[in-house]
Amino acid sequence: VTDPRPIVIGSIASSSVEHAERVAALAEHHGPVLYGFARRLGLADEAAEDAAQEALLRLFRALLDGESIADERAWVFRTLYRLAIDQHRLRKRIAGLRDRLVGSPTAEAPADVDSRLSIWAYVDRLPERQRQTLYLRYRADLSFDTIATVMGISPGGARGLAAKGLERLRRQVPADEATR
Amino acid sequence: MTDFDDLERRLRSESADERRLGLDALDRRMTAEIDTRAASATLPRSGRLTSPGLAGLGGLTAAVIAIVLAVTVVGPWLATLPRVATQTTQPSASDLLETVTDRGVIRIGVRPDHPQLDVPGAGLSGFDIDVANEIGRRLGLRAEIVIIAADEMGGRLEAGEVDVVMPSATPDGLGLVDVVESRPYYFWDRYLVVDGTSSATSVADLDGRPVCAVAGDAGVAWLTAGAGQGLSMSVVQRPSDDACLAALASGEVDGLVTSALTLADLRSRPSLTVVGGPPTEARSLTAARRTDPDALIREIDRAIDALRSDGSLSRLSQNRFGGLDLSSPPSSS
Repeated sequence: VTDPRPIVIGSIASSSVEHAERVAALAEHHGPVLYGFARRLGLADEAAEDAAQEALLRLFRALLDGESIADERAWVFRTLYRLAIDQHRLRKRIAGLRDRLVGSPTAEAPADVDSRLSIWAYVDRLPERQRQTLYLRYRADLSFDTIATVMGISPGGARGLAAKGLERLRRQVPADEATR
Repeated sequence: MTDFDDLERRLRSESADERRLGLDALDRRMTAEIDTRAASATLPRSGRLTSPGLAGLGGLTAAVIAIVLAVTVVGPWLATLPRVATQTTQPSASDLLETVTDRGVIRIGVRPDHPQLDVPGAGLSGFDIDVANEIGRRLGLRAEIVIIAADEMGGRLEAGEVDVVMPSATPDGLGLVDVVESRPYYFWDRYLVVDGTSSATSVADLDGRPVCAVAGDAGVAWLTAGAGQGLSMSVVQRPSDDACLAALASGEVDGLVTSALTLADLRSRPSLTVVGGPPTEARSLTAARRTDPDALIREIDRAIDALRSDGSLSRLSQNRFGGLDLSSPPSSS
């Protein structure tokens, strides 16, 4: 019996090294921001880290499968976004395990001194999609076109969410905070 | 109030509850992915590899090369990646059910050999994989199948690389200690068989005679312990049922204890006669006790009960074991 799949053992190993190297580099350089985005998606602590790692692992699998991915960073953010949405749906089905769905992450995680003083403490009180858009724009440094792809909205919609978020922040952040 | 320029400056510069990811866990998961792919691509029971470069190599040789490459090339390289001291994602003292529910994925270790087999063109498949996927579905989770050699299951479970394993053997026989088992999802019989021309009609008739068993299988322990009757057989170990059958055919042994052959397999060999065998072995999913798995195991038990009561387990068994329903112990079937 012949297995029709072309299997070249040497190429499996060498390409695995190359792909693992790229994913590890992404994890090293963008891991903190992936984690931060997962937190803005409503995941807490370990769940946020797990989701970020799962998104990276899925990128690794996709690369091993030979998928052509033009922007790996955007791909990982988009995957993370979907993972978080799936987790919310799962939690809704399993009542009683968690009581943290899509609320503000700062409302459920104990805020330390630094986060109370950070501008992001104010951002995290904004509506969900506004805070996510601001995070992707200013911490992940993604373009509005890429943000639109990640969140499944139009670029104009992403700009609008960011503008509304900034406008709210402008009203809410005290002047003495702004000058520190 | 503040102006936009200052706001944007602060948004870019101030920390936002971020932390570096634990690269150890990512390393382990990528390594496991490579291992799984290497194992599923190169552990055929009856197929063979088609790579031109490997055309001259046997399947087993190619499998060894793949695993050696994965372990010697990729593993050490991954070990050189920078490590960050941060919280890992291993299940620890927290409830394992909560951990897998948060993750949305249950990682289930299954062995690459019996009751799995390599289907040409479709990769590794088998009864354990079927049941693992069904259990994941019933729990509302995605089942991530991790292929692990039976003798490595204990270590991988202890390392937190998988949540549960399906050893398709008794846990203590594989060195799986301090574990919690689910309810059995199937029941496995081994048979002591002799050639149809043999005068032996019972286990006792083989006392003092050479009998073959598969190395590492529970059949060896049963024979060594006197076959439950205080007998003293000469145990000959071979790597597979086929090798034991060859030893029987050549007259090297007078009987053999099956390992992976089912009763359906034996019925297709009318020259063999069953004269007895070890007690039925109940096979379960197994989790490490340190991961606080009781709640997860209870959920798995419920899933197994549901699979059994709606006939799914019977259908999966009949599909994989030549029409046999092994989902219930022989006495109740």
